[in-house]
Amino acid sequence: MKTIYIICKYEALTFIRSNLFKTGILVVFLLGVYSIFHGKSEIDHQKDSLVEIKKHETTNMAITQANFKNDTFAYIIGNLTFKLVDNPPSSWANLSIGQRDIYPFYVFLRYWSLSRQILTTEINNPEKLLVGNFDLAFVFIYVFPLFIIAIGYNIVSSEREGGTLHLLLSNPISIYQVLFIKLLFRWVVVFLLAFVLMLLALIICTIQFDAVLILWLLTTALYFTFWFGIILIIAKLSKSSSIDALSLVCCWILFVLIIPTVINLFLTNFYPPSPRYDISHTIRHEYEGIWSNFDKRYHVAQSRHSDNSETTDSSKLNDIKEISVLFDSYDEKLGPLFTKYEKLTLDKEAIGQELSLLSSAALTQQIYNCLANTDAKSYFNFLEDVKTFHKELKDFFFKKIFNDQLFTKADFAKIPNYHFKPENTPKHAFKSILYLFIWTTLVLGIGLKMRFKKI
Amino acid sequence: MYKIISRKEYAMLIRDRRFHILATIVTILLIVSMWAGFSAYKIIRNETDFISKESRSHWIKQGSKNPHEAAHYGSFVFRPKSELSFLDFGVTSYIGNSIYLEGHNHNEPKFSQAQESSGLIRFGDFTVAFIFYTLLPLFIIFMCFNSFTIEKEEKTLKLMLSQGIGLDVIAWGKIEGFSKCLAWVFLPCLLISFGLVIIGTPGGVSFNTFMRLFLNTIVFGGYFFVFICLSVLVSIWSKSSRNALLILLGVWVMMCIIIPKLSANLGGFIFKAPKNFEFTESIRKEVLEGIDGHHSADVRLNKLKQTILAEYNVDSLSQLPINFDAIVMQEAEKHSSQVYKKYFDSLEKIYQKQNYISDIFSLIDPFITVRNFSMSLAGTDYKTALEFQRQAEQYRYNMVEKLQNHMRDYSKTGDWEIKVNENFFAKIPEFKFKKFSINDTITQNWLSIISLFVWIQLCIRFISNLKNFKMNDL
Repeated sequence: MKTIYIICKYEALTFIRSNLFKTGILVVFLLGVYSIFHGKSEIDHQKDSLVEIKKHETTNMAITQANFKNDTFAYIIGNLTFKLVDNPPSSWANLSIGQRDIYPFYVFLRYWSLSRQILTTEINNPEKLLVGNFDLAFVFIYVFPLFIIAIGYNIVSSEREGGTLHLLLSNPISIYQVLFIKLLFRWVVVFLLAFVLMLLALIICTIQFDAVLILWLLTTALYFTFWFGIILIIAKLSKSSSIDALSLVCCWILFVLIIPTVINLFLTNFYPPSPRYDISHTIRHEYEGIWSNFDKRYHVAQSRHSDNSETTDSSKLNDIKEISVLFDSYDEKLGPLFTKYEKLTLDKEAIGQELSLLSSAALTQQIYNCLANTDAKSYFNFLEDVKTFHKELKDFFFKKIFNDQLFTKADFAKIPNYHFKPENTPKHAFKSILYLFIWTTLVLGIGLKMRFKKI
Repeated sequence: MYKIISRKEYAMLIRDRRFHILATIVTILLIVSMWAGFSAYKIIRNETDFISKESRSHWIKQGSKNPHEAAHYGSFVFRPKSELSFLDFGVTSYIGNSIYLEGHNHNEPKFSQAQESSGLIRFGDFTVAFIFYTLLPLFIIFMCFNSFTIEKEEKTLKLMLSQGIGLDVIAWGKIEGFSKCLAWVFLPCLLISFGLVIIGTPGGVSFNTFMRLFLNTIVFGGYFFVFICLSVLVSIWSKSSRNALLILLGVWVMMCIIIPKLSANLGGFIFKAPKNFEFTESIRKEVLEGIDGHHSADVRLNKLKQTILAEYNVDSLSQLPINFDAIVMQEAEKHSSQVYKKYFDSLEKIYQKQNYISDIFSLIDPFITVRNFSMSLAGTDYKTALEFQRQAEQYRYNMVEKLQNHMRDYSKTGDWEIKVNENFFAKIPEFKFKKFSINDTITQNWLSIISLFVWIQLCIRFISNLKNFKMNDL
């Protein structure tokens, strides 16, 4: 016990006196803090946007309500009623932005054709999208393993090269115990640093303590342990510290850079991005079909300079009914095409997730995104909510339009509103955490089982 | 003496097992990335070519119809793949592939690859350029980190210096030796790229493509030269091979991983882009303030009516020899186009400011310099994508204008029965994206060129100044 205490004490002293360690810890800490603020700023931008749209929706409805003192036709109110269907970020999205900057996080809907409203894109700087987000997940996945390598690459070789290894082993302690204590000490230091950053993130981003926190910490601990397992394997090969550093950086490149990008390349080649001409063409063809029927009539009316959007004659009412039916069938024609591509993307995502097994870094990123609800799956769940709500809104107005019911003042309160239901902790995260656990156990097992090539 | 050192370094390295293993790995990665990039390029290009033809055929064969209806029917344009895009995918994965061009609406490019990819896309694209600007510097570091430290550790450096050779001569000799070894990995890859461009490009290699490939070689050559010099300098200044390796790995992590991400994110952090909703609402409101092609009660419309009536010296619209409805619709189109242009230009300025932060960082990080230049040369950068959007919008405007003007000139107000046929549609030229010339690309990347030039000059200066190094300094 005393020997363990002495090793730990001198490890701590070595670290405190080491400029490399002090610089490293400061750099990682500063990068971590920056990443928290960056993630918060990106997510706050989205949150502010949703608040703004909600405010707009409320004002818009208040104006409409004030303008229509008497009962009026339902289609008129329907045309003026825009409802926000949002996918607000979870508090964990501050730490792992994932795909949230690529997929739309809200739709501002009317009861009219969903297909024309659903194809929205977020405005974003493509060069910024290309490099990705500097969030805490990035710091944990990319930067921390490098820090682990920096403080652990010469865990045994430095003792060997400095001539202290034999001195150390002359004490009643085995090299395996020395190695284990040294690794454990470093693991605690690294995990404490990550934990401090997590605590800071919880305070700065006002994240509540919940089950996700436990899963997040577990994932982080497993990922770090994986890297310590790699260090253990390399240390037992008993090469020089330069060779150890080289080998570890090669492992980092392999797991963090090469495997995930090669999987991505594989997916791009086997599921090449489609220009989706069938969707584009159907939109053009069907939409034109509808307008060629009605637009001309409107234009003829306009050219007489007597058109008014609030025309209430029966011919216009019939037109509205006919257009509503046509838009509905337009949505029905496009529906299967949208579903086809959604399925394709989800299949691609599922294969990507399975292949992520090959890299602990890719696996960890998937888990973080999944826990933060910032992955593609979360977006497609949101799309389902959009479809369900649109149907509810459409049914509400269609009922009145097709039953020739007027829209009364009391009906304003009955217009459906969308209420976001937060997702529970995604179950598919458990599967990925299990895979990461297997990875870590495997690497650690190999490391522990291996014998030193030389001492 | 310099030649002897160069030959010795080359011979030593070319026989080194470490070099064989690393060179084999890098070559395999290059071949895989090139093969996959090229096959993806061919699939997408063939599909784009096919559907572009189909879209054109649908446009021409849409049947006889009113010109305004044809404007509603519209057309599609697809972003063509540039010949060198298989070397560097650039930002193309994050920008929509097609734009629907129709009357009244200014649609954004839709269906980006990123939206239909798995989350792994954020780890980056495995392309030849990725290997060149991320992995090859590491390969260089592994080759050169102990170029001088080993001489110091084995006491051969002092032996060489005692014979009167300058440290700069030894350094240049080593740099030449390393460069020759690296050329065995780098040049065959470029030659294969050239071959693939010849095979894969319909109509052969143009002067523009050839120059782009040539410049690519020079830019990457310069970048590798900087890394070789940096590695050699760090090796000279370091006390041990271990220190040299750690410093160089730290430099690589900062240059190739941290700074590029940090600078791009910092740009977005400092210069906030407007929110999507706020942006589209501002456009919608300003468009409504102008003439609306669909509402005749507008005061401005009446003003226009009076002007046209006065111009033709008639009292009523029915007396006009032309179609007033078409004039109104074209005025609305003109106004909305101006509004869209104004807002997109302002958004573009914000993005430029964001990217400018990255450009400034390129002065301290050659990785950013080379990445930006490589994307430009491959035609997969943001500027090219933006130019495509601009040309597509101009094409849309011209197409709608041509249709409205025909209706204006060949029918009278209220006549919505006028029709145009296949011959008329065929006369509207097909959309052809005019790419940037090589001169444009060079002009756009002036900061990158200066930055790379400064880096090369600094390296040359530092290496040449080594002649002033005293033996005791080592």
